[in-house]
Amino acid sequence: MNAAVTASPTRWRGIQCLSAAARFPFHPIIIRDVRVQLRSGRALRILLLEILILSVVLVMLHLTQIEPEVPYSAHASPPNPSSVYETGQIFRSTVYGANLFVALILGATLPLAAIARERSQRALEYLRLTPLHPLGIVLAEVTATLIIVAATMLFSLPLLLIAGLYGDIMLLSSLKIGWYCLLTALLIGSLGCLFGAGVKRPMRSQGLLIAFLLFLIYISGALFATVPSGNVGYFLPAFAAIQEMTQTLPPPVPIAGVALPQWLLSTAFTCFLSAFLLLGAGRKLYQPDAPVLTPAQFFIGCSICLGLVHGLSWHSHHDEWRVMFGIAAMAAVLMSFTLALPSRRVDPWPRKQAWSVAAILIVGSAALLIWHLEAPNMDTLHYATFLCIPFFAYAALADQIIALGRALFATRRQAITFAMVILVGSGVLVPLLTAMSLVPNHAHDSRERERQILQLACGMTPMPVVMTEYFVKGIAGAERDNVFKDLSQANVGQMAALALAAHLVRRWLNKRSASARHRATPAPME
Amino acid sequence: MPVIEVRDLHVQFGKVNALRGLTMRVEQGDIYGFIGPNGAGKTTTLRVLATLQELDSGSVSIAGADALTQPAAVKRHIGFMPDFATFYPSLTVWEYLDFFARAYGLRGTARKQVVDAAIELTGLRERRDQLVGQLSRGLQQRVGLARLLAHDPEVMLLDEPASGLDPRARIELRQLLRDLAGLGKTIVISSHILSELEDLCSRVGIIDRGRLVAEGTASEIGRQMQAGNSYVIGVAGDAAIARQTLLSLPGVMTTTVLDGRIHIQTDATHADPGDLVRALVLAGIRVVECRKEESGLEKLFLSLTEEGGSS
Repeated sequence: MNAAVTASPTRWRGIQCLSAAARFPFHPIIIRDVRVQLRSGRALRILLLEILILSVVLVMLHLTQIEPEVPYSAHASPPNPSSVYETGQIFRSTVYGANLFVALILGATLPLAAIARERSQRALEYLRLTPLHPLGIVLAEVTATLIIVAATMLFSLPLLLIAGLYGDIMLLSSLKIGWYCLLTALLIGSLGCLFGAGVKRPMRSQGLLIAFLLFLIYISGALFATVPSGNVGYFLPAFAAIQEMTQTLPPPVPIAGVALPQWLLSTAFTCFLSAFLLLGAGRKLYQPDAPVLTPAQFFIGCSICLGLVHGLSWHSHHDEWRVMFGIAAMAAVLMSFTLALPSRRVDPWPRKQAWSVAAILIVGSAALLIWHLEAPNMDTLHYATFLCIPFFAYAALADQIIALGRALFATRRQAITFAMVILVGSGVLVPLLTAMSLVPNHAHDSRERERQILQLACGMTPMPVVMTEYFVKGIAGAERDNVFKDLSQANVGQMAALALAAHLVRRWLNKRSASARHRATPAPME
Repeated sequence: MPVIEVRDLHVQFGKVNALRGLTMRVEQGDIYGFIGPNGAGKTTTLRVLATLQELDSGSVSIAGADALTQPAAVKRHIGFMPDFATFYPSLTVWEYLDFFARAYGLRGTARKQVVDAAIELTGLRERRDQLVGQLSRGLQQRVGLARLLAHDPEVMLLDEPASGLDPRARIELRQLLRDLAGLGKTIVISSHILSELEDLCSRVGIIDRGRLVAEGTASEIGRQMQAGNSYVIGVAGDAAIARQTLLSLPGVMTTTVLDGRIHIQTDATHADPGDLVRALVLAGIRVVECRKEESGLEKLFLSLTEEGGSS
């Protein structure tokens, strides 16, 4: 009996994770969902709809009296190359568009409906008693959807082959579009999982589904179709698919001298974002009231975004790879915070923080490697310090402040308010007011004064917003000396000291309340 | 060592105290009946035992594992069937059980063997390829029990498993639970169908307003609550005169006339019904019926919970 209770050795945990990853295709949720979907015939109905649409298009194409090209026919009249090409283009685009539409619909409906149904039927309680991890469950729901989407695309292959009558079927382009469709289903399915995990009542899930379908318009990237810049395809796979269909591809993005294709960047971004959404969904699955982001994450996320915007707007000219790089790095840092920040009952310091450091170091190292290849003369160690330590220190500080708030106050709202006041106060108001009082007022050179205030405030604040701002400026290749000079003022030390103080106070409070509870509780009766 | 040990359990929902210092022990192989009125805290207790509900204070230990610090270990030892059991209607019985066997990490032939054994034990062999959604409520409950067996738990927690079942299905369910107890499973079952628990359970706990007000076998609780005896005497003629006669006897505590019969409560020292009959005959009253009144679990339950309510 006790053997079952004994935890497996920690050193085998990595191997267990690898083993679990290898077994993931046989995840019970995937098998069940695919089975149920095939049995219910929902995918089949959608496929029939797709075939119907394509048939209508085909009939309309014939009504335009454009003859398909029949190879090796001596009696055929010579085809008009441009019109044949256009017909093939229209037909291919219709097949691809139908596939994209199916991916959008299935991605939006299946995971959301599956999770909402599990919750409304209280079936999640069964799952909660099994060793299945919530993140694994949501991941499996999305994977099952991807399998269904891939199956519908395979079924549309014969229709695509008809396009061969009008010329080339453009195999590489078709594969790319298929891949973008899967990425779209992944992104939207992840979002659906997140929404579904927060639903408590079935009626609400139906309303949510309708709202979600409207939201798809934005996700599909159709609204950006009129924007001159083609960069949206780097982020939204659906838009990338449209670009591929219409052959309006943006140029490849050079990073470290290597031209990265759009599909690779789109895949990376979609995976980053989906992972982030699925982490949130996994967190909310068993506790729908739990926030997707903890207050500290939200705070840090907002700060980073703000810093990113400031940093990017600093220079009128910047290369696209720099933007991409900055966003990817920030997404990675955000993800690591998601892993790092503690749940309600866990002491914030131990293992999760170690994972946080590891994640940040890995991302930082990768970034530095690329950076080093791009500009070998830069001080790599300086960048490493710059990239990793302040963020980690700030995460630790935010954790401790929030934990302290929970120990001090009875309600969660009070605790969060307390933490916000402390963090915003220490991060923005105090440094800014101090800097404003220290820098003399020169009416004739207000710009110079603003610069000095900002520089001084940056040296005092633990806010990641300024660090991010300087980070992006550093990427843009300007004011590197100033960046390091500011950072060398070591606000990391301030953050560490604050975090330690908060930690000690919280421990003391917890100890005191535990002893009070012990005195109040009578001894158990034997 | 008890398989389930609960000490001083407190659970609060907002301002409502769902459990107030609940303490209980369940031994290996017991069928433990958990009885209480609506809102007494039965479901909350079972959910705490199943690690689905956080507790505010107290301790819960199942098969030596602490529910608070080792929830994963506790989950390996328990199987929980909620009061509103739900199923995946589009799966067949075999697929449904296979799903949970997979979820518990069983693989290959071991998984198939476990699923087949669960189907066999619960008598679902002929239904294995039928969709769960097409089964009757009684058969679905059987599927629910088979699901619990997917990972061979030591402890089975059943919340109102007989609700919504017809009499025949209830009898079958009882037999099935006896069979499972015969296999060494410890079963905790909550129900409002008190008469059924009386026959089924080896031990019974009565809960009211988050506290266990009585615990033991049904007869133990009866003795605990009633120091004396109850008798029913039927007389030909005026029951009121007979009632006055009986009240004048030593040891007779209360008398009540119901449906023409006199219900008498005596203390422990005067338990001889012969004295009661003799006194009535000497008073010229013809006795047509005299029997000892058995104290059922239902009556005990009502008396215990009413007492709690008046305090």
